[in-house]
Amino acid sequence: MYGDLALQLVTASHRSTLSTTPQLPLPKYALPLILSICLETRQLGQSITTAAEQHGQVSLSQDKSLVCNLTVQHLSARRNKRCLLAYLSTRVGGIKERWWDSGGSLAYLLSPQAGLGSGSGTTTDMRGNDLETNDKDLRSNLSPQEIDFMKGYNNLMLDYKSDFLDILDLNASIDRPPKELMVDVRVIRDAGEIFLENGEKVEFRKGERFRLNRSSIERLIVQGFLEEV
Amino acid sequence: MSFFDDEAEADLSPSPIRRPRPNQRASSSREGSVSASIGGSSFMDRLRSTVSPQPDPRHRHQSERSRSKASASVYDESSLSNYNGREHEPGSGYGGSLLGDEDEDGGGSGLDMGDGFEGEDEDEEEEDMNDVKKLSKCWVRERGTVELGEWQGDLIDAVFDKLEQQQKMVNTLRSDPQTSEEEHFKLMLVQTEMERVKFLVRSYVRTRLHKIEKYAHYITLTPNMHHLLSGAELSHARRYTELLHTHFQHSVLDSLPEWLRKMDDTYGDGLSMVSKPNRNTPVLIYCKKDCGEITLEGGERAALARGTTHLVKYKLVDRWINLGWAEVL
Repeated sequence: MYGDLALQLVTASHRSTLSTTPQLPLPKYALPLILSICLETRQLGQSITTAAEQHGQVSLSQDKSLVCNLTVQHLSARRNKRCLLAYLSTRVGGIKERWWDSGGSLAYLLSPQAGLGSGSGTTTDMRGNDLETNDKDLRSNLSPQEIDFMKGYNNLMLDYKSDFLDILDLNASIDRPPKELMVDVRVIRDAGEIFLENGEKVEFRKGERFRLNRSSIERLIVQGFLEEV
Repeated sequence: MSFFDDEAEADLSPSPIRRPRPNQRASSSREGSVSASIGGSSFMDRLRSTVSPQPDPRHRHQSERSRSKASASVYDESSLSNYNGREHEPGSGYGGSLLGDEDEDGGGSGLDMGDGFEGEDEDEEEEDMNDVKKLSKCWVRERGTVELGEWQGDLIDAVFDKLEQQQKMVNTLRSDPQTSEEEHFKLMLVQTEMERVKFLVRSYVRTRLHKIEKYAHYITLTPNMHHLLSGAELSHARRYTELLHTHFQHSVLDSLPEWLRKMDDTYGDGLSMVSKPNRNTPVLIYCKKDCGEITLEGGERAALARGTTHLVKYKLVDRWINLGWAEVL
């Protein structure tokens, strides 16, 4: 039946949004399904135009069954389009959410995959497996268009953010207002040497504990290098 | 901690009990801040000496600011337990603690509302409000309504200026070897408060961004809305719409028949592809003035009397909210 495939697409998409806590990895881009929906829609469009051409203006106003037929096809085509866009925009929402969750770091979102590709085996072994699999999937789960979108969005936000940058970092957490200036953290992944805001240099090695300014290491917490104690 | 008006603080110090209040906590806090400003005087002197000599009015301004800073910090210290206790109250929740904080600085003028006093001086309150308090109002409003409020550019700029000044002062004092242990503690409190203000700004800006992205297409198509946005926000809305549409085009629309490729169709049931803010969303409002009567959906009438709280559909009360007669909670 017309629209069955589209229904399948939106229900799957809806299901994936139902459990947001804990956040599931973004499901794989349903390319085959989308292609077949596009095909179906094109066929519908084709059949509408040919039917209209064959019968001409006169019968269109008289032949009720033809009108009915065309209406159904027309509506199915529109419905397909709507389902496709709904699917895409749900995913766009997911992409943006992940972008913000990662503290606005595109490189971090897409990098683990690149890291694997270059074959630096030692570093990957030491990282937490959990995070690794989760992030690795993100890149392969996105369509090329979605990656483009993400890059575009990243640029857009960088532009917007730059107005505020000398005072505050828009990407820092807004979950709850900060209560303390300092925070106790434990390093859960090696982050190497990092220069903090006040010019101090700190080397983060796995398992070590620090007490630092919250604002200067917020980003590392968000990205999963450090953990609050 | 130091963004409260110099005025409020100035007239508070000479006569600590300006308005007698039945509230126990408020009066005790008053004492706290008085003793604090005495205790903080040497701190102020030191600060004055660290700031390079400046023309007189400017100088006075600075020192006043620093005094209020010092006093506020000490005050905080004295009531820290109290303040912590409140943070854990389930009711005071999210913005509660922040607002509460500011109440105490502003010389108590904000307490009227927070604790349910129906103020004898509501108009005065408007003017008395310091920037942070104003900002938190805007923030609450922005979070509470579906429609985009007006961009508070001046306010944000003012807050940013103060943050920058504050940062400079803190840096000067921190690098000064003479600063004592106790003063370092005060500085820490000042910095914490700065972080909290930054949080407020961040949350405000991001709330707006979220709405802008959600209704980006609608905003770009509706010129009446453009004055509500800052320049950066408007261009963000435009570019975001473009980006999203390109994404849709490339992903699916290009492979559909041509008559299905538009992004601003209206469906047969009147549903448009351009999503608009849903003005039927309920808002919780508090009436600061008498707002007359409104007619509800069912033909019922409801009076919005001063000092009452209502949960109504946004479109019914947006006028009052925009006028500032009603306040979103």
